Amino acid sequence: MTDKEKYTRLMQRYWEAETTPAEERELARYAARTDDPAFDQLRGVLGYLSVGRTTRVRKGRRVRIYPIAAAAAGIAAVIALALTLRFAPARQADDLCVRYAYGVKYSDSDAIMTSVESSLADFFAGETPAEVQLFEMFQR
Amino acid sequence: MLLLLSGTAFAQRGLSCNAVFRGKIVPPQRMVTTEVRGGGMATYKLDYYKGVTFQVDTATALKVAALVAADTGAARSVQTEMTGELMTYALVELKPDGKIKRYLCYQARPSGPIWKVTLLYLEGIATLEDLNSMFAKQETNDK
Repeated sequence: MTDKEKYTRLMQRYWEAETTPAEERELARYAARTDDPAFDQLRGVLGYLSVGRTTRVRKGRRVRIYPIAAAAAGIAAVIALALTLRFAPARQADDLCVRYAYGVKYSDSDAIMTSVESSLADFFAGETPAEVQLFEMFQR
Repeated sequence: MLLLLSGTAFAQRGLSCNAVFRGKIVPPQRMVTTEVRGGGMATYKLDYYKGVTFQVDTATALKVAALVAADTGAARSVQTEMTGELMTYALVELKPDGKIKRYLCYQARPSGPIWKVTLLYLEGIATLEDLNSMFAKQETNDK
């Protein structure tokens, strides 16, 4: 039995409302891929049903926009942004963290800040400045 | 490097030690220079940190020490230590710039026939008591 014979019989059962949902889906897939004029009427019906289902789905998923809620959300967002800019720690444009060791530039902020802290601690705790240790480390 | 030096010149203007920071006593190629400004120093209630470290002979060390000593003239408070004729330690609270406190920290350590010198310049709202307690506390916590 060829595909055409098989689906022609299935189509006849479809018109007589004897097909199962699975058979109808299979029939629809076949009708969609064949250009046989014998299935034109079926394509028309299945196409209509398909469009109808799509429309229902789209209606079900339609997002309703409430103008007042949208406006409130927008205002809240603007206020939040303004507060963030107002109270966030201001990073000044002239922030700087740099080291030159014998003319060579280093910009590893973590390493620099570690040595800065050590130097300060050493000076204010009466220990050997970490800068001296740093000097020894970089010494060629 | 020019940008770094120009920033330094501005920060320590009016100080004799500015010559050291600007590389007039020891060339920049012969020292380690660290500069931090802004948010990174906020933890210590400071806005600006400048540190230079270099190795010099006794004659140059005496020259640097003389510059530090010159800056103690108008200081609010000074702590120094001497080793023979050479000042080997100084913690100087300079005259504040408005509400901004300024400090000069200096140390020279002997290393054979030469001296390893460290010089820091600090600016910020931290008092000496703040800095001492801040780092004393850290030291205690470390133990």
